[in-house]
Amino acid sequence: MSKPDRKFYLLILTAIAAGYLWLGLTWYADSRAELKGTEYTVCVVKNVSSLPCPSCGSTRTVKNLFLGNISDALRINPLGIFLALGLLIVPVVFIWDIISGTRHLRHAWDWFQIVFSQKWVLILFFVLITANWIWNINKGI
Amino acid sequence: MEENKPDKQKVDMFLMTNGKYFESYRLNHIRSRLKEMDDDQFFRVQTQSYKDPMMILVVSLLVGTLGVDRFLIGEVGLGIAKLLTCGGLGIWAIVDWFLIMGATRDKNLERFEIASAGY
Repeated sequence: MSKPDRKFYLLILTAIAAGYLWLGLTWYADSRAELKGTEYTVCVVKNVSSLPCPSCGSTRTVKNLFLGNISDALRINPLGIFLALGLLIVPVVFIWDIISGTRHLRHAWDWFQIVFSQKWVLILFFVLITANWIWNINKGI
Repeated sequence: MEENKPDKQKVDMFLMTNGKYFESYRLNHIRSRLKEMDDDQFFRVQTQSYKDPMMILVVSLLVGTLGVDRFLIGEVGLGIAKLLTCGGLGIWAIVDWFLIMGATRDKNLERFEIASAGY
């Protein structure tokens, strides 16, 4: 594997590991009776301004999706769906790439960057993110 | 053709005004490239817009959690990932305070190479 490819796949591995580690931590924290009901967040925006950021609530969404509560999940934060999909699909493609020597993840990432570098895609993306952010604030996430 | 190459003064002017946009250990390479460029390449390289690493650092310190710093230097994929994960659970946001200036300079070098190649 070439050096930039190795760096990329290492980053992917770190990201996926961190994602599952985070899920595990929140699962554990939620299961401890004495911690139940305590509100906690890593979000700097929320801790500083008490307003949620666009992705606040996505951990809860991912947890709900993994448990099968789809309507609850959608209600909390739709962005969590992409995170959940990523957490499920990326490890599979990662292992496939490592075993068979292909670079599907890398190509997907490059394609993704090209698509999202276009002006209209970026504008649409930011409009949706802002709308989601306003919804988050209204919901009191 | 010898007369098409930029003279020493122009090269030094470019390095003086734009040196801060690049990693210092790259400046030698940039200087060699500049000396060998023709007028068109030199023009493109001079009119290319580069991002100020200091400004991007300030952005990173203020709103790094939302991925704005990565978006500004043109790394859209990383910007989106940072935004979706609330600054990588806050950890990536902090790590980027240390990485973002280097990343900005690397991206500036990329722009330099692309401008000189004429894409």
